Amino acid sequence: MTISYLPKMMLFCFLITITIEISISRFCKIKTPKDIINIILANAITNPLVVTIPFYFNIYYGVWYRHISLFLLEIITVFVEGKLYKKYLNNKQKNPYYLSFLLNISSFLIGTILHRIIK
Amino acid sequence: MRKILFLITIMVGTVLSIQIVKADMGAPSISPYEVRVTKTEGTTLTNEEKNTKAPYDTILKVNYEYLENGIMFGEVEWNKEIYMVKLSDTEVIKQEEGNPQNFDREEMKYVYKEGAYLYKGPSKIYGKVDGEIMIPVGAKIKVSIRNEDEIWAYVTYEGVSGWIYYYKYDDHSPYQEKTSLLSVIDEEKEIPFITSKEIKITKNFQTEEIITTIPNNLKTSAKFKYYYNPNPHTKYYYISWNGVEGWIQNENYQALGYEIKNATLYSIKEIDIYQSDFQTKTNHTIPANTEVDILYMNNIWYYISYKGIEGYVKEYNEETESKNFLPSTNTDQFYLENINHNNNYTEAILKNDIQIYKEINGVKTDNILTSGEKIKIKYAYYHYQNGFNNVWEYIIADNLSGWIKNAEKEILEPETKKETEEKQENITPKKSLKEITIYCVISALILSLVSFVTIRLINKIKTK
Repeated sequence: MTISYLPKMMLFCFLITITIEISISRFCKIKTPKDIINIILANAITNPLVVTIPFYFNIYYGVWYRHISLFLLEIITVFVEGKLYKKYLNNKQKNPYYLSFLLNISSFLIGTILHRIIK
Repeated sequence: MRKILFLITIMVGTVLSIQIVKADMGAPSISPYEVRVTKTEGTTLTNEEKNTKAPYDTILKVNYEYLENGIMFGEVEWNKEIYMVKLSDTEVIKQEEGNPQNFDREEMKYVYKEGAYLYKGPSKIYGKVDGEIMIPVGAKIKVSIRNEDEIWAYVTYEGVSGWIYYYKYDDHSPYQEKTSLLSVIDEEKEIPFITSKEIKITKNFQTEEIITTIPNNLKTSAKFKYYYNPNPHTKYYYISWNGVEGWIQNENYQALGYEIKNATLYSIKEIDIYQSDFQTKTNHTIPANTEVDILYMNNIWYYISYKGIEGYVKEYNEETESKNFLPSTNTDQFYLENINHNNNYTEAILKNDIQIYKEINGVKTDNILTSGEKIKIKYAYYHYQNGFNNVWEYIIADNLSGWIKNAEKEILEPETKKETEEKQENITPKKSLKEITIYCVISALILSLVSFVTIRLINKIKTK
């Protein structure tokens, strides 16, 4: 791990997250450009913090704190993004919190698997 | 809501099953380290003579590690006897933190292959540091080493401290993989040397792919950048010579002699001068009781100059099992790293009046040195004669020189020059990983804020 690792990781995680979430959201029939942009922006609000804050805890306090912070942040993310989707998404077919949960759990699981493969 | 709670439960389960976590094993410690027996029925301790059992919760001190058939064993002392214990039956006890001031020396190392991980302690059973930090290939690091530890060194890399496996001699490594580190010499300095045989420069010290060869008996120079010491008899050097970079092997330290200035030898007897093969004599000899200039040397032979004649001589005669020469003081211990050591005298003050001789066991001169006089000792010869150990020393005092026998003296310690501080680099100091983390967290906060404002603005515009 070198000094340029964290900024690269932030970018990589963000790109993977929005790729996965946009793909999953299209399965959920969310297709309009406005909704896609809102999903991207919602992830731009939450994703960098979800990536950097656990890393901070890992460096300063140890791996257990990293896991706890990641878990809590993911839960907060679900609710924050759910709120944003409720307010800004045109597609009202899906419960916004359920949608947020679905997108986040998918990106988390697929991202973890991809990370293990790449590692 | 129920669906969400159900799915959260699944997520928790998935997170826990995917993540493989090791508990923090404690702060790094110095070697040797202590372990506690964790096997409930105790663990077997074995040596060549017998087996015994150390009960559960016994504390053992591990002094060495061994790998046998893929299993790590530690050498411990138990009831005043030495045994081997299976380290998987134990866990490490928390030790004091590694502190660079508690170490004996520092060395510069170069990371030449992947795998230079930082560990929490001086053994792999401590586990890697959080974040599994691997020092990248090409990095130069300063490691702190304890003289008795040939395996682990302590290093701080980009704000993170830990232990790194550097093992001195790979052939007897307690771990399966070879170390990732080379010892740094000096990339910038041209070091003159002479070859006593043809030397191949290869692409890699592990292959025979030859790039070029350095001819025999050539006086030349190269930049010696790194060295690799797989066993006590062989050193590989990575050099830059005549625009070519590659590895050379100095087997048994015979192939290269390094230039040395202001060094001389004193012949005890008549000595033959050889060619580089040490089989073919030249037609010249060095008479007894003669000083000769050393031009190049290693710890096996000297390349000398005597009255315009140059050639090779050995310090020790294997046939007669005796020394050929007395080296002046700076030639006693010679290593490449000490090549610029030019002080070839030991200074002392005489404690008694003493006679000066022309030669060892030879004729007295008319000169006597008095107590309190300052002398410079150039050669020392230890000679057992008539039931006594005699020390003959070749000295220089004012305008006088010659041999003195069994002098009482007080050795004066050389004035050590204060080491100059390293130059401050004008470039901005590199940021540590911890600092970068803080900057990234702040950047993430700013990005989140900007994105939040953007999402509000975009949706307001669209609504209008």
